[in-house]
Amino acid sequence: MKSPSRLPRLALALGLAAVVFGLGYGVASRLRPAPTSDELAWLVHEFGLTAAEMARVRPLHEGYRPQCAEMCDRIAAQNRELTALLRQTAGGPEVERRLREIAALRAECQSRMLRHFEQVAAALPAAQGTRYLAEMQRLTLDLQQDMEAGLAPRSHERH
Amino acid sequence: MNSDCTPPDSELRTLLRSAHPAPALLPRFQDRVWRRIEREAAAPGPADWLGRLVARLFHPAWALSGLTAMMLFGLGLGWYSAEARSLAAERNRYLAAVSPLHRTP
Repeated sequence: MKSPSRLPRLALALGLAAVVFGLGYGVASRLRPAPTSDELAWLVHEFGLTAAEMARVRPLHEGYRPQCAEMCDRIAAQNRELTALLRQTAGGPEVERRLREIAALRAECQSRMLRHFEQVAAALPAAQGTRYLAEMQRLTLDLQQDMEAGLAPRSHERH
Repeated sequence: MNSDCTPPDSELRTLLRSAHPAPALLPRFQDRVWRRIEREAAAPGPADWLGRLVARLFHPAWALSGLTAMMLFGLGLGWYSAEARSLAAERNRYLAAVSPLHRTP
């Protein structure tokens, strides 16, 4: 029988092919330029925006950033306070009040975000603007949707 | 067993031949049979496909073509996956910049 003596040669050929493939993969991964530090680089690459369109979007982004940072600080502070409170007590009216405040803050944060997304979408060409808005709504609101979907069967069981 | 009742083998064969005459063989029948046997012995069997494949892979032209194809495939896939990773990193950076809910643990 001839096949067994040919198996090592076949294994050698496959091994060589795998090495060459890996070499190509590694070289291509390293050749690609590293992503820039520009926060708006994704908009340029994903939506193919021109320099003129970016010149309209950038001031909107820079204007929104302080608002976003402020909301971020407020949410972080509320989370810290709630964590500290939960270390002292398991529940009670104070915890409930804090939870309501956090929920209101999150809702305000989402409203501001959506307003900003609408402004950016309006500054883009119609097709890209529509796609941007849909994508941002999906990316920023999907966490809540996932959570609701995960909780839905349990809430049905309770009723 | 009575051997006198049984006709000898040679007689039996003669009797059988006369009873069932064999048709005449085609001209060069034996020669054709031997050629066919040689041809089938020389032809590769169905289990030899691996050997033929290996032999073809080690042919310089095929080997060079195959390795070049693998190199190009690796380059393409490496570039594509690096592009996808880079785009995902840029998207996460943008989301972190515009969404406090993505930033806040």
